Amino acid sequence: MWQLIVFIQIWFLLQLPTPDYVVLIINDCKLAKYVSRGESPERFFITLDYKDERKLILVGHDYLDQTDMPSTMSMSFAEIQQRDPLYTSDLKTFEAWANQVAYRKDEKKIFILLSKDYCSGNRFITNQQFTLYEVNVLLQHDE
Amino acid sequence: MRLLFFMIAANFMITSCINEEPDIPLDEFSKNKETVLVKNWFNDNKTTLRLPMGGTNFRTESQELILPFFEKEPDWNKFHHYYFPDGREVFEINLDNDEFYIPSSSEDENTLKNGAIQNIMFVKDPLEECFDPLIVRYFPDDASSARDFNDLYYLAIDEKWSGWIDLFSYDEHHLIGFRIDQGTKVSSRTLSQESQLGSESSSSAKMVYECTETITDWYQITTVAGSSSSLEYLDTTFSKECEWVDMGGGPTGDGVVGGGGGSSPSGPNPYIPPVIPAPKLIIEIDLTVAKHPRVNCIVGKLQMSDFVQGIASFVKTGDLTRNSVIKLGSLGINGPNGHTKMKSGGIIEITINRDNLDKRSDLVIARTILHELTHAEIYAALKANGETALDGDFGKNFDKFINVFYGSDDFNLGGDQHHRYMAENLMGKMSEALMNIHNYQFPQDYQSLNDLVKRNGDYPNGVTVEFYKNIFWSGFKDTFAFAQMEEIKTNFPISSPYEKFARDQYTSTLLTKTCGN
Ligand SMILES: [Zn+2]
Repeated sequence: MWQLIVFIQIWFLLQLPTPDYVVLIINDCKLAKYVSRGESPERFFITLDYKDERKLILVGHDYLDQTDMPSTMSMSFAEIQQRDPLYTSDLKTFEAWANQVAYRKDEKKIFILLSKDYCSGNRFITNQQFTLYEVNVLLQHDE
Repeated sequence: MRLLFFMIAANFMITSCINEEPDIPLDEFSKNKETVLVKNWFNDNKTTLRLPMGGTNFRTESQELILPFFEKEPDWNKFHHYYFPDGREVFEINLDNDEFYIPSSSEDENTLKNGAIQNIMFVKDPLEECFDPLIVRYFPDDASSARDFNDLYYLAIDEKWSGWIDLFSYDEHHLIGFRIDQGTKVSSRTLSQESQLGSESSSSAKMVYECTETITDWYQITTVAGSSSSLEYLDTTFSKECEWVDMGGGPTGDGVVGGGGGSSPSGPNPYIPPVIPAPKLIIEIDLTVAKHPRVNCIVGKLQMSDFVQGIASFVKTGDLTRNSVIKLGSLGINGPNGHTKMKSGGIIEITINRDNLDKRSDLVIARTILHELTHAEIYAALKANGETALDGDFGKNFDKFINVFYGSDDFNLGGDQHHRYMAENLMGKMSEALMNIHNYQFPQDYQSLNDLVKRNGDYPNGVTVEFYKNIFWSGFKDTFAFAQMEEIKTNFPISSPYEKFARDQYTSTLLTKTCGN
């Protein structure tokens, strides 16, 4: 009987849905510039102007048509950490941005934690909820 | 005398468009329905198509080359029907005459057997039911450029054909000649009776390119009894060709036959022929594009643009008349959005990166294609001694940026010069073209963009050409112009040009990806 229970437990574990998104923490606190595009709902884009091979990277949360408003979600920092998030400071090459963020093979959506949240120290407050924003990412290619 | 000629020329233009018989009967030639209108018009008007003083004297006081007139006998069964890039309809019909002219560079009467072709082009007037007739003669260099009538016409010169294409008025005034090497126009000639060298020493001294003079003897061949023929010397002409030299360069000064006349700066040639475009980019749409519904859709929309039509026409996969090709290729997700190379055979190859297409909006893909087309036209202009619809002053403007002479296969080497030239000279034209394409070919997307930029306050009165300039800047980041733009600082809340560039770049990511779906 206990074998069956263990089996069912393992089966449930395997069935846990892998999230269809990746959390990216904007932790280049000085570099990241937040440009507001509207407050209700909050719309914005962030520039990361690396001045190296990564060039200018633009990450934004806005819409062309209201029906295409990207999503948001709320999470504590502990929950975010469980999601195995990416940090912008770890993405040191254009290729890393391309492979892990902009053109992911698994086509997962990207949700970001804003630098103003990450860098504020609020993340040390227990149960503080953070808004994660689904974003478009634009890399600058040569042509 | 000049005035007289001008009046004669103007008279010619008017009389050539007389339409005395508006009711054109359709007859048994309807198997070539398309040519019936032309044929009837020609038969009704051919007696009025000559300059009154043309006569049989092929020399007048003018410097121009005027060959003896002969009655033209079009073979109405051998015709090409096509359109100039500006939309004018053209019927190019083979001449069935025994008379033929050859320049001495063709050496002898064997030229005829080598596939020289003489056709009459009827360029339809855009407004009236009438035509401007022009005689076009193709003089191949040798047998390898011999072509059947069906395989060669004015807008379809294949990449292996080398020789001269000369245009004459209906009554044999020489208008302009184009030198074609391997399917690409490399120079043009206007002919005059007297030597031109030395006559422009002051202007030559200012310019950095070198001019050489070519002396051409003209002969008339008349086919007798089918095969044997007689050869008769007619006249000698001089033409000047100017070539680029390192660190210098400029346009040759000769140019496309223009409505304003004046295509020949040195010879007093007041004749005003109809505007005829110079041969230019003929871009084969590779199967990789044709089979990609979205990119094919975007390329299709680009073809509607005046800017694009001015520099390129597009042909289907496998059409050997092409001198360039556009294709999709894997350039990697870290690679460029597109690139353009001059291949060793002289074919200009545009590759659009297929690896990041899904993430890019239709507008920015159109931007990339327009950017690459402009590279291609710059390569073509360099090969054609600076002649291009892009820029009447191409040689001078591009010259500022020449460090690497064209011909290098490494497009990256040439790329900087191209980009600097584009950023400083073509930004306005390219951006206007992209804006028009967006407005007229992607009207819904354009409307959504307008709503967005008004809502965001970026362009309170609706999007302007500045937006499209900012979309183009991302391809010119390696230029001094970009660095200058980046340097301009403003005080909050005024956005700097660079901030606007970043903002509009971001906005472009929101646009639709629906072309072809
Ligand atoms: Zn480029």
